Amino acid sequence: MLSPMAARLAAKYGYTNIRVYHVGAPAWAQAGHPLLTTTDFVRKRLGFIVLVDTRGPEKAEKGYIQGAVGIRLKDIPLEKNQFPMDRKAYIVLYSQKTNLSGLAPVVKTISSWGYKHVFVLDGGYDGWLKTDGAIQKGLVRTKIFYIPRPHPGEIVGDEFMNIVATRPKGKLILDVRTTAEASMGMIDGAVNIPVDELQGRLNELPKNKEIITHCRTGLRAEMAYTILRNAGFKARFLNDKVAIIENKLFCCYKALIR
Amino acid sequence: MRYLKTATFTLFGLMILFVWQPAWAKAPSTLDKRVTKKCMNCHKEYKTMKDILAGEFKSRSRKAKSIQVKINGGMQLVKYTPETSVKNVPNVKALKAPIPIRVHYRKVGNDLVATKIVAKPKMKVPEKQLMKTEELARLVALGPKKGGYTLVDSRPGIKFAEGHIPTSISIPFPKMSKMKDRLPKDKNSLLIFYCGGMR
Repeated sequence: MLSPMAARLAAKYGYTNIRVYHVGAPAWAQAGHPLLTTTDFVRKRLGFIVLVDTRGPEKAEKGYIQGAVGIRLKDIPLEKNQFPMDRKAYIVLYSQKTNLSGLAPVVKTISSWGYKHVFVLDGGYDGWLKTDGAIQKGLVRTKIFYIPRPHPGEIVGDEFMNIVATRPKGKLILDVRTTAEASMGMIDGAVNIPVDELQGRLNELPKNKEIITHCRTGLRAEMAYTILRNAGFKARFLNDKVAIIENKLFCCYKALIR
Repeated sequence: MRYLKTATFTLFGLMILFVWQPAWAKAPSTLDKRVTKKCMNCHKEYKTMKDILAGEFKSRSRKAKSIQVKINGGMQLVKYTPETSVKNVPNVKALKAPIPIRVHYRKVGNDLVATKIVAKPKMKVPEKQLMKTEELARLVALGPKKGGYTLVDSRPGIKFAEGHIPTSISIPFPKMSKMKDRLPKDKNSLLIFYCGGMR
């Protein structure tokens, strides 16, 4: 979208040898070529990415990027089961230096498992040190531990379950599934307004409580959150699966499977 | 012909506005909430068009028969019906985030109902300008000096920071006129642009 427009502008500037790689960065990665990420990006997402020190645990002990997991490059293909269920997880590999050619085959392997965001850190560990990035020394984790970055307005599963259990006065659980779905079972104390009726039934909701929306998967809960926020309500949504079977609540698996 | 089209749209829009104007309808009133600023770069006419939304398609719920549109960081919900016409993609199902869309709506009670959803059409690039992955990979392996090229990432700076093609430089399209000096001095040298892929 942007590249053809840029190409047209460049032609106006008088450039004569213009080409457009129209399929762009996603196609580059899909073809198994690594994309480079920056120390800035890693610093911003620290804690919410899978950061792999490919030099392996022994080398990493002398100093590694904060939060990294140490897995030797040649062992990564054997560790598929360790990688998060969430295929949209951000995965960043680094070496001592950029080492594109060395890391490329492993990037290709990880991408082939279905991961959409696999990157190589530009500059590697040395580059990280140059920008005064946070490091750790000593024993390095060898098992991947991944927490996804929460969306704005998202409530985490633990807090949601706590509200279900304690039913605090200042919170209201709003079930935005269809009435047919809700008739099969609802969370105790929750109110059901299907999301497609919500805009017209806002007057049924209290302005002085925080409204926590949920549905079956999280999709409609987010839509309801949008409606509530636009109307000036205090709200959050549960971006997780919910099932009520024989009056028992089954919920919040995201934290477990990640 | 173009003017006629715009005029018809505006007229049609005005007609709808007069028919559907219940005071309680929660329609987005200010332009800021209706149209994403980015869209306005090329679509000045959006300023005068009534009852449209323009932004990025975010998500769709089949059960709620609704779509979410991202507008200047905020969100708007619009319902759709079997009568909603869809342009440039086969149907609502084929809308994939984050494709830019324009929604023509009418207010029904408290809801916005889409009459027409127009997806941004693919931009045409002359065949001889297109570059294949293999060709670019060969150049990147050589490097800009040996390969004799300048590779420009036209996406926003944040996308470049997240993950860019090796050897590329970041010149976000909206900032291109200001960053002209980063382009090569030799106007006959090979200049390659890429972005997040054309939709």
